[in-house]
Amino acid sequence: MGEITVLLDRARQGDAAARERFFARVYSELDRLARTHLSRQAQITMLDGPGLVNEVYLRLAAQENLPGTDRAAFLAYASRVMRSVVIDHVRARSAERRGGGLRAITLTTGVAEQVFSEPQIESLGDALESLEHIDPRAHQVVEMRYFGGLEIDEIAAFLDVSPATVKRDWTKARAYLLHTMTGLA
Amino acid sequence: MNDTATGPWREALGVIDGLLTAPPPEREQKLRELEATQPDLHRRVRALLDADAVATRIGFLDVPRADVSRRAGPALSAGARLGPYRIERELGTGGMGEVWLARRDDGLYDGEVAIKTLHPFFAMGAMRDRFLREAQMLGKLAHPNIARLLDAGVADGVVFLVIEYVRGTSIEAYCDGRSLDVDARLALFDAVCVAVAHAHANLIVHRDIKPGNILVTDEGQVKLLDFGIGKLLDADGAERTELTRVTGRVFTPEFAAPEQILGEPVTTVTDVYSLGTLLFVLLTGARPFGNEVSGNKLEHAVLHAEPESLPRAARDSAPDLAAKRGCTPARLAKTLDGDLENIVQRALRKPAADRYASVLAFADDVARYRRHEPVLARAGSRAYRLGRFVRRHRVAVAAAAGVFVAATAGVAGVVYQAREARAQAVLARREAEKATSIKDYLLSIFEANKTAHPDGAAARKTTAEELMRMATKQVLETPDKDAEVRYELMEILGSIHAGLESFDVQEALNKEKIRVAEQSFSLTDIRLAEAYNDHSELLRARQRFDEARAAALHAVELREVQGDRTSPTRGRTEVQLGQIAYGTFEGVGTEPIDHFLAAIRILERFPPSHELARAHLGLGRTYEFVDRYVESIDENQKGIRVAEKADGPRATAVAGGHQQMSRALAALGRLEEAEQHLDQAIEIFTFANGPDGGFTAIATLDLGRMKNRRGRHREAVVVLEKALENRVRVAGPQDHWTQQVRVSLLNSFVSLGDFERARDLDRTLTASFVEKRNQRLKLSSMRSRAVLALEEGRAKDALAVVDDAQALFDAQSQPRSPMSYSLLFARAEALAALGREREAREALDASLPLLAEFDKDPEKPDALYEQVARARVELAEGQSGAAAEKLSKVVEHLRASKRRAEMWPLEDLAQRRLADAQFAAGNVKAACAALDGSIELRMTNALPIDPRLIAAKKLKDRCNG
Repeated sequence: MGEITVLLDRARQGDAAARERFFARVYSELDRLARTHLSRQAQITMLDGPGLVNEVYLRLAAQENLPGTDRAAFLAYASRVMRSVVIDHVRARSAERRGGGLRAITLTTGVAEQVFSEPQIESLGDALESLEHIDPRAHQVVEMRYFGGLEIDEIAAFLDVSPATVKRDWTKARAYLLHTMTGLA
Repeated sequence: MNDTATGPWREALGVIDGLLTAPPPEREQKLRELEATQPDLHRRVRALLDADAVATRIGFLDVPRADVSRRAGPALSAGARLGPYRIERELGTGGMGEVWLARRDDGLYDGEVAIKTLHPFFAMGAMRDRFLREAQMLGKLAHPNIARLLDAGVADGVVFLVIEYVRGTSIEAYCDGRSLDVDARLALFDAVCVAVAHAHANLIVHRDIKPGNILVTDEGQVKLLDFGIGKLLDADGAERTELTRVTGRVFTPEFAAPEQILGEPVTTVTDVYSLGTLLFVLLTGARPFGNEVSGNKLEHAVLHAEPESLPRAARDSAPDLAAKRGCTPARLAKTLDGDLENIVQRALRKPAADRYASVLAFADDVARYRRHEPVLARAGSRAYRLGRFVRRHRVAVAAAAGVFVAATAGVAGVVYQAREARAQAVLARREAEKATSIKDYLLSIFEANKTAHPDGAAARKTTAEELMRMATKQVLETPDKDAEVRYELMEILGSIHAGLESFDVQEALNKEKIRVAEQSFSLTDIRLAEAYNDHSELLRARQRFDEARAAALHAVELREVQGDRTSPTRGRTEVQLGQIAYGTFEGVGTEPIDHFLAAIRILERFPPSHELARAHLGLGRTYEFVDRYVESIDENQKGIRVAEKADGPRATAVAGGHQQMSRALAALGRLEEAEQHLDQAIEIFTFANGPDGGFTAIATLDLGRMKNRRGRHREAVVVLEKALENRVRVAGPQDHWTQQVRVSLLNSFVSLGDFERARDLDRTLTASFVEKRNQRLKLSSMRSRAVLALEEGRAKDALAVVDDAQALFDAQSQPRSPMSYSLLFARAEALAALGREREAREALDASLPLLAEFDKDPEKPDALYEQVARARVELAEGQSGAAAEKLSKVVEHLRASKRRAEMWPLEDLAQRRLADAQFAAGNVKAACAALDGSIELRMTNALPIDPRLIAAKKLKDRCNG
């Protein structure tokens, strides 16, 4: 059994330390991947969250011989990592940028109409943080679906709730996030 | 974002959870409940639901799927519904969004409309409120040459504007398609200017005037689109950056003024510039900076380059250009040189202050050109160019001037040129002064305020009304200012004061307007006749009919001199004369009718106008006065329809029409329809004037009365109590309308059987009438008191009140009305109760001719009441058999009536009297049946504490025992 498999197993049983180690392990992979990805791009850079998570999964699954049954669990935990990678990255850059003119980063999930600028990603990060306090499960659903690209059914299975509940959580969370990001009232 | 406290949002998300699964009607119901009980929570939940709709629309956070059908597609689709609109087909896609053809199908406004969808950005938070507020303001802009903004809103995540649909072609295509000559083009351009000036008078700037926004219909009518939309879509500060990113800029660079490109404040003079570009295009077929220039180059040119000259632009433009303008190329070049060139260049000056001061000034100059009079731009233009030339080549000019001029023109030439240059400079200065005077003037208002209130905080608290008063004072006291500018300022101030209902100030302004117009404009100038019209209208509103008539007749004379019998101004005067005649109308002759019909004949030939609506509604009112209700209904209907088109579906004129309609319908007993019209009137008045507005209050009082008449006293109480609370708060406890509401409420309580509250109201009313002047109100209050006394069995009191009322009625020589016979009824009832049967009979006999004259309701409820009162007299006389027979007939008649529910108080009275008569005749069974009838009616319609209900139940014991 590979290291990742063990960590996933323990994490699922509620082992916080295992979750941390998984996080650390995957973070470095994702971060490295994101950087390479970004440096390849020219003017406008798009970070494709689910794409990257999937890429990391494929790489680690091959390396560590992960059983196929672990895919959903891996993606579920990795989506949280992805969120951190994206948001940390943008925050770091926005701090740097005050020094000099750097190119803009946008975050996309592949839909052309939906590209987020750096300030938007930052405010999405803030909104997500406040959502985590208000409704942790809805927050988790957003991470998995948006940053990890998991399907509703996969999320439902992982959280052990019905797909309808996941859908409702998603709707609520999305409304809250959009309101928080744009609602000036 | 101080609004992110965790607890409340957790609660809101919890509520959303339940709402998302509920079917829409249930969802709305829950939301309403929430709004009433927990407004804060409701606000949050609403915000989330709005955000959800937008999120779905734009695919916020959407994750790529194999199926891309979830992508944000078009906002609308054919066959879809958007609020009350049914979407029919797409008209086009523009920079701001999609445009669809739609139809409203709830009967409120029929006809086609164009729906513009906007970026969902506008549906969010503070932007949404601002957007809706601005749209509301634009909705009030009504002019036959401006496509009306009918509605605006957010539904299902789509932000939309509903605009009058115009079938037409762009003004440029229209002119070229019909090969219009230069003069015809100038005529169309003039129509455009008039429309823009109208909007400016309402403080609305277009910001994006271009051929594509100006359509001409097949009938040749000009329609401006998208008025003020630019402002609507603009934003401040941080919002602006974001908005520009998502929607792009809200003007078209080819037609934008330098200040727009620089992002500086936009004023009415910005529209002057765009109109200049428009005229350039209409005349030459080319753009002022060439057709090929775009992007940064264009912006640079707008900011720094001199526009092409008209003749040269025309020469370089399309080869068939002259043919399209109905002349030869040489002829066209000649026409465009000189005055036209000066006029257009004048409008295209870079500094706003160097352009025409107003659109009207621009239009006037064009009109002068068309009349072959000297144009103002001519002088200004040379001085302007000379000035620019000198500035550019200052040194060289200074050095060369003396030598060069002297050598070529000779001394005489120098003198002549110097004189002309001076004259031109004077003219130019005058124009430049005019250009800045409106701006200066506006600034000076605030300066004056600062002087009046040196304390900044106090200055900030100055109300708009005070500010306008100061402004007006200033304009009235500075007669040395330019007449055109002053006149324009007074027009603006006049319409503001009309909104503020400050009549004295308005009158002073009107008089000064007339003085200025008579002194400085030609007698044939239509503004002079309009000034008299304005004056007449105000005087009529102030009930000074003789003066009003004199002013209107003066307006007629002024137009007669011109042989004008068909212009809208003439039509307006006829409406005015009709209104004045109506103001003093006593039902004899047809003077108001004749004037209104004359007005309609004139105005019908123009697009629907406010004045035409006034004419129809005035006619409707006059017909109502002379009891021609069917014709009244017909005219009211027309008036409402015209007002909807001319002023918009939510204009107060429309509401007034509905209110009038409800009266005519009620007179014919069509109470249900009447109530529906009142509902519409209230909705519009509330929208236009707010819930505290005077019109809203009166219409609400009417609604309460209508509900009383319809037998829905409980609903009436709800409406009237709210109205009473509102009136006391807004107008005070002694206000005329407050008292009216009290009287109606008193009537409701009497019918419902809450005598205690009825007595309370009666006491309040009696106490406040000591020195009241309004006798009619006092009369109706006294009648209500008499009825209350009768219902409580205090016949003596009732008779005393009726006697007082009758004395008052006679002393005031009030015109006879339903009030006359209702006093006689009360009198008869009181006399019968006191055993004075003969006098009671006399009173009833006296009521018969009055009934024949005034009871217009086909069901004749008042005549039925007379029968019930007569039966009572018979019963008092011991003729119980005859009384029972009469009463049975009345009951039968009422029970068979389609409008039985409305007349339940009368049916109940007849049943109770019938029971009395049957008991007296010894027919216990029939008496008990009648009692049952009464009890059932009161159980359904009145209050459980109703003494009449309790008494009837007690009497029932006799039946069971």
